[in-house]
Amino acid sequence: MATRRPLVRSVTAMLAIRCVGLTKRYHGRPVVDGLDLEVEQGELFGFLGPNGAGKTTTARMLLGLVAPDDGQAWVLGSRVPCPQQLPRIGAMVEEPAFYPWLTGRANLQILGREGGRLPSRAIDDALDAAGIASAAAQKVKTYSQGMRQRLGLAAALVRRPDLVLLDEPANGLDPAGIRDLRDLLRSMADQGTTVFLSSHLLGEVEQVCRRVAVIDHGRLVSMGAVDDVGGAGERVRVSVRPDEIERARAALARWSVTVGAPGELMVADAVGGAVNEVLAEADVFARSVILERLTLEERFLAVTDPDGASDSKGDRDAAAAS
Amino acid sequence: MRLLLAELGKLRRPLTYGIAAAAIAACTAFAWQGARNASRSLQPAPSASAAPTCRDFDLPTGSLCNQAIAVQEKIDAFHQQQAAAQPSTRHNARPTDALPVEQPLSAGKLALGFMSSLPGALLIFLLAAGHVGNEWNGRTIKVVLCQEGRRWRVLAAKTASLWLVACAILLVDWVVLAALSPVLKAAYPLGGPGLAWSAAWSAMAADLGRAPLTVAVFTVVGVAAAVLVRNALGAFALAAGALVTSLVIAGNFSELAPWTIAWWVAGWMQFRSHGYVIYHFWVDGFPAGLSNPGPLTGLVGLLGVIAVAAGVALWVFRRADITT
Repeated sequence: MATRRPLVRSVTAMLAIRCVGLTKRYHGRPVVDGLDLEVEQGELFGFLGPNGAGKTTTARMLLGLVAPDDGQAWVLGSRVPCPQQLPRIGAMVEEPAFYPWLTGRANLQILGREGGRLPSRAIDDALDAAGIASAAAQKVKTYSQGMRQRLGLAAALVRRPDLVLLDEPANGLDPAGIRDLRDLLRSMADQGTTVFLSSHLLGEVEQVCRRVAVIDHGRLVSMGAVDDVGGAGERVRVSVRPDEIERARAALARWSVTVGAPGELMVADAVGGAVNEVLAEADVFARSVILERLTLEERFLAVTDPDGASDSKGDRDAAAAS
Repeated sequence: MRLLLAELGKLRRPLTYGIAAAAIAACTAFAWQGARNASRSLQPAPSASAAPTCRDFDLPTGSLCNQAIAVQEKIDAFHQQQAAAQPSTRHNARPTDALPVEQPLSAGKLALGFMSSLPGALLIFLLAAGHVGNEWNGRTIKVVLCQEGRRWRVLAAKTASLWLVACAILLVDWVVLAALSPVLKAAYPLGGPGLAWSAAWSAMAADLGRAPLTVAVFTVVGVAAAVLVRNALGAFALAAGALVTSLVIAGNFSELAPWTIAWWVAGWMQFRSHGYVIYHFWVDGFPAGLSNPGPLTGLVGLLGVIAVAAGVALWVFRRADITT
């Protein structure tokens, strides 16, 4: 027992973010409910969840903006709230907010003064990295939503932080901006910066993050490598002649089968060879048997909206039956 | 210091410039009107003391005119009574009341009184609402607290920056009035050489020493209202409503008057009745039976207001969830 506390402390110090039973309630209703989370240093971590899942509230608790009702959180080894660590953290929570009567550069200068001394050229570097340097002399009230988003990114990066918390950073960005953001996040991770990316743009998260966590109704429902979230995430797509579809379906009854496009069956959690063998035994000759990976979106919906997923399946079945 | 500089940077905004312009315009107008009226009072009025006639009321001779004359005579008698009882009131104004606005140093008396009384308070509340309350409207409060998590420091920097800007507005106002004073002196001569520098200093030195604390009280109250309400419009409404209520109570309820901010400001600033120049806007008189409060009473009361308002603001701000 005597050695346990230092061990816990050292594990916490190695993590960029750690939450244990983190809980926040508003008017008695839990918004974040017993969240356990660990993000390693230098990791590009995706934080997924549907609207109202508790992503933003979690980010606010990590930044000390909102006090948890229960549980604990550590950021960069310090227990939250940790004002002394804020200069090492860059953040953009929901839509970025600035003083509209000031220029983009003046806004960053004010942020610099509020958070302590900035490294030399930090503002120029951040403006360049976010792709907003050419508009830095304009007042923020003249900015488009995408320009504000870029300035928000610059504000998050201006301190060259060790940890960056970004909440829906791609909102309002055009396709080129999203591509630039993706490159920026990758380069930050390459330089050892921990990136905590909260988003509902699953495609973006899938492309840049190695690990993700999915929360729903404030609870963690899945966490792990992107490929592992929501289970193995494989299925077999079988294509047969339309007049053989019912026979094929009956033969594959041992698996969970749904009807896809006309003449196609989706066999969940199956192995291609076994499916082919069963069909052959039933004298059904498949035109093709393809092993497919489920997209992150499909696995995300499977864990956050299983009823919706089964409804969709039912709809497809009904459509096929009719 | 860095936080203070950041807050001062945010105050370089149209709202601040507009408030400064409003204060300067109002004080200039009061100085001009006061000097003009005082100068005119030196000219003999042809029928100043004549009894009212039916022609004055544009009425035909008869009972209606007689009633009007009787009412006017009662009003004149009341004014004479007031003039005898109180020196230098609006009923007994003296041309010398306007002497300070015609001297560059003492012209500041008008700026000091303006910023330490109701209009100054309202302008400071407006500035506090924009500077603090609008951090919630504009959702920038989360950005501020993501940079500096020690909330007491944020609140202290905001309060200090507002106080400095309010004092700066006062000084700029003074400079403008000082520049205007020779023009007024030339346009509206009051006779004699005007105020000597020593007399000018005596006329405004006490106000100069006291106004910064009063401005600080208004600043802290404005900040506290903004932190409590968390939006600009509500903050102004709360602070202004509380102050006006205090003035009404102080002017009408003798039991409650000594416990109002209006009473303490009047005591600390030693506001007295007006002459030709309105140097301040505050409660004109306290209920019968109450003698005017002294400076020490005012000082203790105002320090108490600062302590309570700052304590409440800090307590609320440190516990507030930032959900904007």
